[in-house]
Amino acid sequence: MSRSRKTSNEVNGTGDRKTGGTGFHGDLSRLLDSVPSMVTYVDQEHYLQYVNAAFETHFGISAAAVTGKPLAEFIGVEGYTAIKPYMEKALAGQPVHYEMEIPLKPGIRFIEATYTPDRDENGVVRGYIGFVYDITEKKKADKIAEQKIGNLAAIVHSSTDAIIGKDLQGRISSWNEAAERIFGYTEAEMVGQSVTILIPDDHLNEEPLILERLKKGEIINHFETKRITKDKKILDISLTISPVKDSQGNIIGASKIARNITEEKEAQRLVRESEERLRMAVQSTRLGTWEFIPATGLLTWSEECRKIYEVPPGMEVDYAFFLAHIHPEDVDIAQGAIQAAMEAAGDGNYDIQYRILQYSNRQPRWIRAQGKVFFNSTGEPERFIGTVLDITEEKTREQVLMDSIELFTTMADNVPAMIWMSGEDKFCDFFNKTWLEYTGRTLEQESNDGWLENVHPDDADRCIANYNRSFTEAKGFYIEYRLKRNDGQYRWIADSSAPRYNNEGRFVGFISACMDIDDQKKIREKIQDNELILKTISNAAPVGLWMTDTNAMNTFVNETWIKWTGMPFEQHLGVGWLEKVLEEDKLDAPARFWDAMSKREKYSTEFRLLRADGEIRWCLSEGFPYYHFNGEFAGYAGSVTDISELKKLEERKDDFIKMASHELKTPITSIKGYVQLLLNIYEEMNDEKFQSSQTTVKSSLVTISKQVSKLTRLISELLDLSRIESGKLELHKTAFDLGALAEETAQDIRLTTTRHAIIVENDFEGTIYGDKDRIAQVLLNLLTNAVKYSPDADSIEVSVIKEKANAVIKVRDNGIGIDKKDHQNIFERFYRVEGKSEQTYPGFGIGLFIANEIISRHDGRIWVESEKAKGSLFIVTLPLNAKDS
Amino acid sequence: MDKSAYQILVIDDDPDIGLMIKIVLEYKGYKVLVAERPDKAATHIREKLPDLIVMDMLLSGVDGTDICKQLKQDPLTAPVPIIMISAHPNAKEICMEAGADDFVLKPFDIQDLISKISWLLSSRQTK
Repeated sequence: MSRSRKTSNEVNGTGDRKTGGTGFHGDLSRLLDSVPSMVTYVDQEHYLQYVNAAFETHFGISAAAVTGKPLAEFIGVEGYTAIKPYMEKALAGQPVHYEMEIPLKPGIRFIEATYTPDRDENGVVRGYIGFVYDITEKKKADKIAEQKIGNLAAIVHSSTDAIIGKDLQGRISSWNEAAERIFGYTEAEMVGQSVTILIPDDHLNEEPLILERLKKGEIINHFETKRITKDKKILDISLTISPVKDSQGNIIGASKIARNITEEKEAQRLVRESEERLRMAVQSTRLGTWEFIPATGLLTWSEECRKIYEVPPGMEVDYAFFLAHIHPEDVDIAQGAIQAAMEAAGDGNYDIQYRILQYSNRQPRWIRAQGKVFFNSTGEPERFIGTVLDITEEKTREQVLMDSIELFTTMADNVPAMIWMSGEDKFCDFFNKTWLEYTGRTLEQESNDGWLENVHPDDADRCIANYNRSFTEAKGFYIEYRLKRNDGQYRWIADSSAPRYNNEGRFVGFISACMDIDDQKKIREKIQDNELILKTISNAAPVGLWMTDTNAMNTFVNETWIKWTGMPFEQHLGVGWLEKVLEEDKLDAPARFWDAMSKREKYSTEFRLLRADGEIRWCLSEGFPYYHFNGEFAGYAGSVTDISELKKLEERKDDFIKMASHELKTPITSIKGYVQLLLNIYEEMNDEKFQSSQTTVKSSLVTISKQVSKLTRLISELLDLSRIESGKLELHKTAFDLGALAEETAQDIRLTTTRHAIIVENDFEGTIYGDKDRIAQVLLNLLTNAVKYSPDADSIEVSVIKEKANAVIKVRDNGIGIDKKDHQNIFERFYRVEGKSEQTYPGFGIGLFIANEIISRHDGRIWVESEKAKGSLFIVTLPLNAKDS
Repeated sequence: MDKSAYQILVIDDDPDIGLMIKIVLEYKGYKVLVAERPDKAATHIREKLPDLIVMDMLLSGVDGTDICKQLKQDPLTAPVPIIMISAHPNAKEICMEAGADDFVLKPFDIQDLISKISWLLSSRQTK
């Protein structure tokens, strides 16, 4: 070290850092410091004696730190070993120039060095001056350039694009394999040829322009044009043309990359079309699009998207805005779906329907959002894009549909009918609650053809056949079959089905309502049985039976009637039955029927019928109105009885009574006459000899006369009865004074009784219209009864008054009275009040019956007010305005 | 006027009744002729016009009302009052219609017949 120092001092002499032992001083030193290359001075001992400023800068080390120190110390053993041969050669006096890679302390460096030996005045080499260039960067660049060239050649060789070189005259100078593939010409064919071979006629004008631009040094990028192949195919070509310059920068030609974009073009055209379609589709669907970058929170909405939310133009939207406009009820669903989509584990898909609130008016809208999350390499969600569509209307429609389905289901479930529906596939897919409850099965059990399991085995085939036939014809049907109820009982069901049609009017299955008609069916069977019985009875009946409709048209006659007339059933219908009625009765019988029907009264008439055997028979036809269950008039039903025998009998009876009464009356008239004559004679006799027996004889004659009168009355009553029964009691009505009649009748009674005072109060003025003799008969009857049944009383009161539109006659006695239960009965024929006290009173029991008949025929009323042992009050009312009827 | 001055013709096919009326009326002082048949009656009427006729409605197949009508249509016999008698309760109308002046129903009270005869004769006299 000391030596080195000494040496250094020798060289430098000054101890100055820069000068060292080399003796570079002053101007030289400054000169060397200004040199861009590194300069060193190394002595025979391989000590660094000088480094310039460039060295210091390059290695980042001060000169002081390295001068006077062995080079090996600075560059390290490896580096030193590498350069040592060159150092020794230089120190041996030979100039050295080398380039080599040496490991230096900062790393491997590539250096270029020139060592120039330094000789003293004796020519002894005492060191060398080294010019060292660090060419590491240059070498690197060279290496890259070298690689590039190699790559380029490979690219050119293997490129799918045609790479064509041409000079400024347009002559081809190079032609790669791709060019051959694309254009069909070989390199040999093309080199030296004009590039215009490749240009279609209608594109020839392009070439001069391209060349013009190239001469100006412009690069032509992606110029799309057409080129022609060897086999005359026109190709879409994208050209990238760069000028080629020589080392002086003069443009000497061009490198042309031609890419066949024919397919790409086609693809692009298709893409454009489909994009256009998509765009139109998107526009027409009002599909909004959006993009969300989770990392930055940036949210981008398309115009359509903003419209859905009714965001005013110019207003910014962000994720918070988006969240704030989710319908409160749907926040959980929406956020849940977003989070699920952004899960790294998931597929990133997002498809959700929820409600938003519009910005402008907070109106809820239904939207459907679909999207896709893209994840980066670390699995973080990077981009979330998607679409949004306002589906409020669809939702509303859906809701309406759902509502209507729900309504239908609710209705279907709540009607008492059992309802099922089948679809286009023939299978039943709906059974309402009523059905399911009825069968006690589930919808799943009943669906398709499960319901058939519960159909009675005897009915199943018929059901299936009917259903299939109806389905083929798309026609509604009605069928009855037995279905097992939940209690295991098979019951008859009426299944009434209608075809269903969709909006286009296509048949899509059936809807059917079913009712349990088991009870009705049994009733119906019962009714049928009853009808059969009724028919049998009706045909067996000895009377004719008939029915009419509401228009008096005959609808039914029984077998008996048919036997009588000898006409077939049909001929009796309507008014056909009249054919066999005698001409004389043909008008009267229907007229009476019409009259009765108009009043809905009992119909009764007699007519003569020409029987099939030629005999004329008297028939009594009687009928009653009959009504439907709802009370509506249905017509008349009745019977026809052959009363010919009865009629004959009656006539005989009538004749008998007439005869009897006439035959009786002649002797009675005679007896009566003589008795009365005798009485007259007797009364006019004054011989006192007869005085003693006078009373006895007289009373005997009086009694005879009375009895004859009574007998006369009884005969009259019998005759009246006969007349009433045969409907032949005739009235001869005139206007007469009722009050006077009452007085006259009372006077007649007074002659027959000495016990009773007959008191008449006559407040009646004017006349009434009626049969005077018959009314007199009634009064006589009432008064006779009053006398007869009040043996212990001494007065009978008669009053005649006007009351409203009636004349009222009251006859009051103070006799034995009549029990309330008999008040009605006493007006019936042959009725006599039973009881001890009554038995002593004689009579036929027809007087009041006749009286009642007479009063009724005058449209009046007769009744009694009485109590046992408290006398009786008989009241007769007669209308004042009565006319002939 | 003395009752015996009045001639009453009784026409009745039943001799018992005819006799009974005859006895009663004669007892009352009238002159009485009885005819059982209409032709006999006609003879009597032709011989001497009676002051009053009492006639049964039914005369063994001949209708008394027809005779009544004939008598009332004949100006000679028309003024003679006719009282018809019958057992038929509805006969009164028919008889009155036929022109009879009055009617009595069999069996009658003789007093009734007598007062009707008396009334008709006296009213006739006053005319």
